[in-house]
Amino acid sequence: MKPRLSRHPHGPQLADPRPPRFEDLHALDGERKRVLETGYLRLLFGGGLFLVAFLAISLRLLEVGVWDGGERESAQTPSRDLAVARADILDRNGVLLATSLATASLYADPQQISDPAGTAARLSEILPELSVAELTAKLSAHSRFVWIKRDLTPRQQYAVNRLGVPGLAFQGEERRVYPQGPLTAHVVGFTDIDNHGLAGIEESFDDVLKSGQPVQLSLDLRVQHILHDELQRAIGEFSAIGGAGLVMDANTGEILAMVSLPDFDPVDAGTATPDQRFNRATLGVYEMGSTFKVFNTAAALDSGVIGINDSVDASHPLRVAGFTISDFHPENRPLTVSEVIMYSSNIGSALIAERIGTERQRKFMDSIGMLRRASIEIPEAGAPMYPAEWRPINTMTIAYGHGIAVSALHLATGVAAMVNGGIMRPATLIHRTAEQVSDGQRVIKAQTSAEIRQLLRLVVEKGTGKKADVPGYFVGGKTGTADKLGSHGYVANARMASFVGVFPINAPRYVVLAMVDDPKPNASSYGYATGGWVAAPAVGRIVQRMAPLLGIPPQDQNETPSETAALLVSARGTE
Amino acid sequence: MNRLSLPVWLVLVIAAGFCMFQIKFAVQEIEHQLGQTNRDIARAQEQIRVLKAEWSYLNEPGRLSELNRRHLGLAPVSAKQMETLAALPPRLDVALPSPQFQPKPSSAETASLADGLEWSASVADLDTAAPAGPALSSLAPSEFVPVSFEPEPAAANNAVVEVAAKPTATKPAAPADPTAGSEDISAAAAAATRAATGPLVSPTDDPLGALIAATTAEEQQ
Repeated sequence: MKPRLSRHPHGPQLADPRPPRFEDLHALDGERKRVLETGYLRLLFGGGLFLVAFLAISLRLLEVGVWDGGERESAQTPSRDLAVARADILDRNGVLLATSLATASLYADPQQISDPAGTAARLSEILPELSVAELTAKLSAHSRFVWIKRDLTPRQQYAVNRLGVPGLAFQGEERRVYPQGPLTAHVVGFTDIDNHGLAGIEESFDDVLKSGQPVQLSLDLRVQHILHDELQRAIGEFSAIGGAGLVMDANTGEILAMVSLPDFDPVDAGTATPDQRFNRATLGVYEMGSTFKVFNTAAALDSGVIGINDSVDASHPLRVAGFTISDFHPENRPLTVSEVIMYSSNIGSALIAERIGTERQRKFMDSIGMLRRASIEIPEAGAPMYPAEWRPINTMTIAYGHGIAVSALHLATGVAAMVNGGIMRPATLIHRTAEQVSDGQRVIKAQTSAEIRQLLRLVVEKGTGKKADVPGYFVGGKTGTADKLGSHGYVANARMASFVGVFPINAPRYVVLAMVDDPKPNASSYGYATGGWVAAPAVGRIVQRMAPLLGIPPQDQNETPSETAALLVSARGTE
Repeated sequence: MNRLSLPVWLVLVIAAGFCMFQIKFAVQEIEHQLGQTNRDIARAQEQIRVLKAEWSYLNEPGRLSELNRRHLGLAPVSAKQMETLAALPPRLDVALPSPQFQPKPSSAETASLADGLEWSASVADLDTAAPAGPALSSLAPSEFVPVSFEPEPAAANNAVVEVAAKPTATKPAAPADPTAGSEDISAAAAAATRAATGPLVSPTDDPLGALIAATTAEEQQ
């Protein structure tokens, strides 16, 4: 081992005349090497740390500077995609029946509100419908969230913002708006405050509407208004308690108008009475009375048990199983089938039903849907009531519409099938293109249907439905006046007056049904409150107003369709 | 070479960085605009929804019928008011001639130009009490066009323009077209003129005028 001159090669040299040799200085002996390696290692370690730190900083710099830190401008794109808002409901012409608008709802965080009483007082000035006491209670609650009011108007929102109270905030919401007000309330329905459908189309198409797909109804708002207007007028004129009406396309089953009165404003559905919300057109089932004679006659003619000019003996009331069947306008003589319809003879209809037979009548009623819940897109569809055991006496009363209760929708759908050539198509509230119309099911022969059309025209031209006649438009139809069922049998002097009209009768396009609930006779109707006096004029006015709108050309009154003329002759011959 | 490479690289790096940030900021700006536009679209859609709802609300049939009752008094069309085309009795026994000439679009333009000029001219003339005949009759030529329609319609209009251009001219410069003179512009007078001048125009020159003349003659019978 060589003598160590110095601990450090460049350190202060001890007295040594001989300069140190390079080899001596750099010779890596054990200790020297160890010390150097330690130094290198420490350097490397420190450098490495710095390198990692710088790398991390540069990476972050790159990320922030070049790639925007991974945060895109998503915050700037609209937070609410309007396409998925609850969709609109439109009528067949695209008129808006229901839509959604953005509104603001006011909520509070009570923990942040320092002066609940003062805030409540100021809030109730802006929102007068809220009481101060209630507001104070809400604002001093121990939760972190209370609704103050949903769906503020922009003016109210501005006023609340101007208060500048911390702890009050708005939540953007969507509100269902019904621009047509009560006009389509029963069809369109309504939603709750959280936009869940609770009735009508809003309920049955809830999922579709929520997915953002608009629903186009078969309704025609103009016709809806006319129907609403005229029903309202008839109800007012005869001090009735309610009414229902339908206008249906006889060939497609599309419902152009459906009204139930009294109605309600769907925006305020919560405050509506159950009677207002009740859909008399689809949910209410009633004994329809004489309008059922149409079905009875059709069944008889179609099965061939009787011909249109054959007679039945209606000269005296029928006594069957303790019941007496009599006529409202007794003719007290034998009547032909056309006269039975024309004078609305109960006796005649019962006798015809006897020929049809119980089983055949039941089958026929089933085939035209009178024994099933009506197929319609709204959930408010009433189930018919009919005898569980169909006895001969039921057969005879059902012939003139007693002992079976169906909805107005059932009746209109059935009549449409009777006049359109004999094809039964389910009623629909959804707009159908020509290809989408269902093929339907044949229920009577086309020939029978033609005969029924003649009979219906006869009723309007000569019989009980004269008030429904409209010059220029051949209206056919049938009156109906049924006693109302109470909890203890029939209620005296409480009726359901109805008229089901079809026009133009020589090539039916539309079925118009008007029903007036409990009309009171008045001087203008000479003490009558029957279908012919109450509902028939309403249907006449509806036809008169809607026909030009729908582009149905008037026909020359002098050119009576030849088929009806022939029948008229036969009817006159017996007079 | 080696000595140069470092500065070259440095310059390149700086240039690349500069360009990158330049592009980045441009993209940011565009994205900002996109966001703004999207928000505008959303707002516009919301406004459209509100307006549509309001439109439907204002067009609610009940409201319209109430407005009609108050202001118009229109009644529904009755069957009596309608007639099919086939049921109409034949009204004209003159066969409609095929159109022989088309009015030039330029003449229509000059006419409207003339109207504009005429209007300003006649207003200027009102207080000068100058014989404003040619100027005030400005509306007449347009009414008379069917009758005085000559094979060269532009001529009449040009004349009008000329008259209008010199409103201060005291002498009523005789217009090229005699029927475009200074008659009263009332409808009755126009009809009278039409009736008077109608038959004078030969049907071959003026089929439209002849047709009108024929119909007015028929009405008078």
